Amino acid sequence: MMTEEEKAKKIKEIYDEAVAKLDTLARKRSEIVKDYIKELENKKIEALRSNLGL
Amino acid sequence: MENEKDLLKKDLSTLEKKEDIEKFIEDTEIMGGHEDIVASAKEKISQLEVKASGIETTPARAAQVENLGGNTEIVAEKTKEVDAEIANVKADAEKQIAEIEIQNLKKEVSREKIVPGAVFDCRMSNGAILEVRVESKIQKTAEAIPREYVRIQATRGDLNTDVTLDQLIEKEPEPEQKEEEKKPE
Repeated sequence: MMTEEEKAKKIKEIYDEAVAKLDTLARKRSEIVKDYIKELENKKIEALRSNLGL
Repeated sequence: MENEKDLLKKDLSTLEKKEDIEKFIEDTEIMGGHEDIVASAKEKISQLEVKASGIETTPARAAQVENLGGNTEIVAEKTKEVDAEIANVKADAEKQIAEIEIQNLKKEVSREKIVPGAVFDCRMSNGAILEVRVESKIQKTAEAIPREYVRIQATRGDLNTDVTLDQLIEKEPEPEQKEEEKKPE
């Protein structure tokens, strides 16, 4: 049986571990969105070039 | 035979939604009464919720995508897998935290199992209640051989006195029926 202190420590450990995983996933998600924005920007640039006959 | 802690663990394992887990913790709070750990668990779950929701696409990003001729539905499609991972991490952590809660409850449940019974004795003197005995089955389940106790309430009070647990006395064993009495005439 865990003491109150051990339980509090365990909750903190679970929380910290989850936060670390969420941070990693947040970065991964942000990269996906950034890549899509980059893709859209490139398409827009291509469309502008094409309109300008470049 | 499954004991109560196994049943509680099974209950928790079926919970998927945040609200259900929170409700479970609230119920545990009522039953367990370990406010510090309950508060800590609630706080951490709430912080995880904030953290996870902060990962969503911001309105500014969504506007940027739309201005460039993109679609937020495509963003959702592209982030579908990672969003599922985020939800899993959050749900797993919430579940694990709630399981720590169960440990409090396990302790409470394993200590004693109380089945309230009827008042079986009331002693009075000059209109005042001296003692009310309530036969509650209080099984000390942590003990190798569960024993039953009798709860004594409202000692030296009156009818308006709030009843309080005064003391527990071990229940005297029922007198065994004599062999001759059992036999029919």
